[in-house]
Amino acid sequence: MLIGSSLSGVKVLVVEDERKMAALIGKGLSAEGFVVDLCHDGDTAAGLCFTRPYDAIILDIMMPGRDGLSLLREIRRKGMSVPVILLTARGGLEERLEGLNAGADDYLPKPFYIEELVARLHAISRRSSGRSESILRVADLTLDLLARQVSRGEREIDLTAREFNLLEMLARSPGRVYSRAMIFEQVWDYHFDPGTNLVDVYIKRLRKKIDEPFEHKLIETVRGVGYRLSGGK
Amino acid sequence: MRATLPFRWKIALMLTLISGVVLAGVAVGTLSLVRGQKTERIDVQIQALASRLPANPAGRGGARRLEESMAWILGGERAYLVVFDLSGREVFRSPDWPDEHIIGNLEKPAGMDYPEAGNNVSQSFYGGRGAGPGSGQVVLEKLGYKTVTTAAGAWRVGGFLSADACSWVAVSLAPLESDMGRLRARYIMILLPALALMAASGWYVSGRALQPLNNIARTAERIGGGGLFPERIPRAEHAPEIDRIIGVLNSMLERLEKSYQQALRFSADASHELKTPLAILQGTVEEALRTSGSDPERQQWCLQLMDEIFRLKRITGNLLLLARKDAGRLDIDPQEFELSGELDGLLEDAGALRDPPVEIVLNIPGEVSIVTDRTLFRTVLMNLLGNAVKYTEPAAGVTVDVARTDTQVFISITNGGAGIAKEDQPHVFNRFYRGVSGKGGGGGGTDGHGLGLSLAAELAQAISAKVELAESRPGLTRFTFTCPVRVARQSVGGDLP
Repeated sequence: MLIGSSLSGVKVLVVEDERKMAALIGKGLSAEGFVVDLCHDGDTAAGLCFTRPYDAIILDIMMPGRDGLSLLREIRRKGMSVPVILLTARGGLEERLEGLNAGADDYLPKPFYIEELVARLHAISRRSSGRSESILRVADLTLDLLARQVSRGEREIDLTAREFNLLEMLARSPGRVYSRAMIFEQVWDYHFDPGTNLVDVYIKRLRKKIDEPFEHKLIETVRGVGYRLSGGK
Repeated sequence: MRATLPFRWKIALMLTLISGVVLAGVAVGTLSLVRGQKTERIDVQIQALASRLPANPAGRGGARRLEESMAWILGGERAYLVVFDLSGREVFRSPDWPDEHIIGNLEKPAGMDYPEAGNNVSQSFYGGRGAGPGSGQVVLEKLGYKTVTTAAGAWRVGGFLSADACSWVAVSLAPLESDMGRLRARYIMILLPALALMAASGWYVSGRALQPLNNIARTAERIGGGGLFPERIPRAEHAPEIDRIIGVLNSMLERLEKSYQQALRFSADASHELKTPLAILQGTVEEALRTSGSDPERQQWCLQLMDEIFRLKRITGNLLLLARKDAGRLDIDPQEFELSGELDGLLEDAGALRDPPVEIVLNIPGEVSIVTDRTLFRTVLMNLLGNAVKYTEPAAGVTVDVARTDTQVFISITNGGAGIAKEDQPHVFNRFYRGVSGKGGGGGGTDGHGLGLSLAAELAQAISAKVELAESRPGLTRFTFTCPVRVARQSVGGDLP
C-alpha cells in the first residue's frame, strides 16, 4: 500500500499476444487502481501508443507480426519517453541487454508475479514523476524505500539488506498471505530450491527485530501456508 | 607418461631404415660381384702370364731364360714369379719378391695340393691338349688361385704345374683394392643422398597420408570447442580407406548437427512453450489469491497451488538452464566482485537452510577479487553449500576453505555426516541421480529433484570452473570448487540460426 500516491488515472498499455496472460495482467493492474488498455499485437499497439497518452507501457517481446523490441525502438525514435517494461519468456543476457539498449526501463522474465509487475510499475512511476512517495506504512511501521530505513514508532530498526527486502515485500500488500516459496522467489535470486527453512529462519530474525520489542505483533504466521503482515486497515 | 613418437616420424624412419638396408644390400652385392669379376680377370691375366713362361724352366739355363723373359713377360705388370722344380727346390724367384710371407704361404698353400705323381698328370694333360713341348708355349696345369693377405697388401696367387716345374705367379691386388675403394666411395656418395631423399619423401608421403586424419582431428576439435558445426571434414579422394571414415564421420556430424539444432531449438522454444502456460497458471492462482478475501481455506488452496507452481518453475528453470548449457548457449556475463563479501551472504543463507541454523566456518585469506558470472558462480556455490548443510551432522557444521593462486580460486566445502556411499560416489554429479541407498547421504542434491549437484558441476563447467567430490567417508565429505579468477564474456544471440 503506497501512501500518498494517487494511482487512479495512471494509464497503462499492456501489449501481450497471449490473451489469457493479458487479461490476468489487466485484472491485476486494475485492482491496483491503474487504468489499463489491452492489445494483442504489435501493430495495434503502435496505433494505440502513438495516438493516446500512456503513463507506462508493458510490452511483450515475442509477438506475432511486429515484435516488442522493434516497437520499442520506434517509440524511442519518435522521442517518446513513456516508461516501458519488457516481458519475455526467454531471459537471455543478450535479449536483456538488447531490450535495455533499445530503451526499456525495466525487464521482467516470465513467469512473473503480477504483484512484482505492480511493484516495478510503482518504482518506475516514482522515478519518472520525480515524486518521492517512497514511504511504505503499515500500522506504526515505516519503510523508506529510497533510504532503505525502517522504523517502528519513533524507533529506528537496523535490518540487513535481505531482511529489508523481505519486509518490503510483505509490507507492499499488508494482509495478503505469502507462501514460503513465493517469499523465497521474490526475495532471493538463487537458481536453487532451498526447501522452506530459509524463509522461516529469516522471518524469525525479522520478528526478533520488528516484533519482539513491541506489544503489537505485525508478522503473522498463517498456519500451514505462510506469512503475512497484519493489515494496517 | 611415456612420450610416443608421432606416427609420421615412425613412418619416415621406418621407410628410411628399410630403404637404407635394401640399398646397402644392393651395394654390397654389387661390390662383391665386381670384385669377383675383377679377380677373375686377374686370374685370366695370371694364367696368360704363366702361359708365356719358357718351357722347361727347371732345366739347365732355365733360370736365366726365365730372367730374360721376365722383362717382356711381366712388362709393366706388378707381378712376381717363383719357380720350384718338382722336387720342391726353388729354381727362380723374382729379385724384388715383395714379401717373405707369401712364400711361406706358397710353400704350403692351403687347398692347393701338388699332384701326387707329377708326370702322370702332366702327361695325360699334354696328351689331352695335344700340344707339343716344342711349340715354345708351355701348356700348364692349373693348380688353382688363392688370395693371400700379408702385411704388404693383398695378393692374388696362381699356381701352375708344367712338365718339370711348379710355378707361382703373384699379382698385387692393390690396384683392385683401390678400384674397389673408389667404387665404394661412389656408392656411399650415392647412398647417402638417396637415404636423405628417402627420408624426406617418407616424411612428405606420410604427412600427406596423415593429412586427412589431421583434418578429422582439427574439425572435431573445432566442434568440441564452440558447440558449433562450421564445416565438414574435407574429403580425401586419394586415400579411399580414410575417405570412407571421413564419409561416415561427416554423416555422423550431419546427424549431430541436426540433434544439436533440435536441442538448440528446444532450449529456446521450450523456454517459451513452458513458461507461457506457467505464467498464466501462476497469474491465475495469484488472481484467485488476491480475490480470496479472508477465506482461509481458499487461501490455503491457492498457496499450495502456488508452491507446486514454484516447484514446477524451478525444475523447468533448471532444465532449461542445463539445456542451454548443453546447446552451448549459456550467457556468461563476468563481473568483478569481492569473494569474501559474496561468501558472507551465501553462507548466511546456506546456514539458515536448517533450523536451527548450521554453523559454517569460513577460512579465507583476506581479499580475493574475482571476475566471473556472478549468478552462475552463486548458483554453483549455493548448491554445494546447500548440499553440505543438508547432510551434515549439526554438531560437525560445515567448513569452507578458500585458497588462491594467481589464476585460480580453490574453495573446498567440508561437512560431517554419514558420507556418501561408495557405490553412489561416481554418480553424484549425474542428473536426477538420487543414490542407490535411497537417502544417499548427499548424492541426491539439495533441491529435491536430483539436479542440485549436477547443476553445480555443469554450470561450473560453463564458467571454466570445476566441481569435484574430493573425498567422502563416514564423518567427512568434501567437495572442491576450482574457479579461474577471470573468465571471458560469452553471449549468444537470442535468435536461432
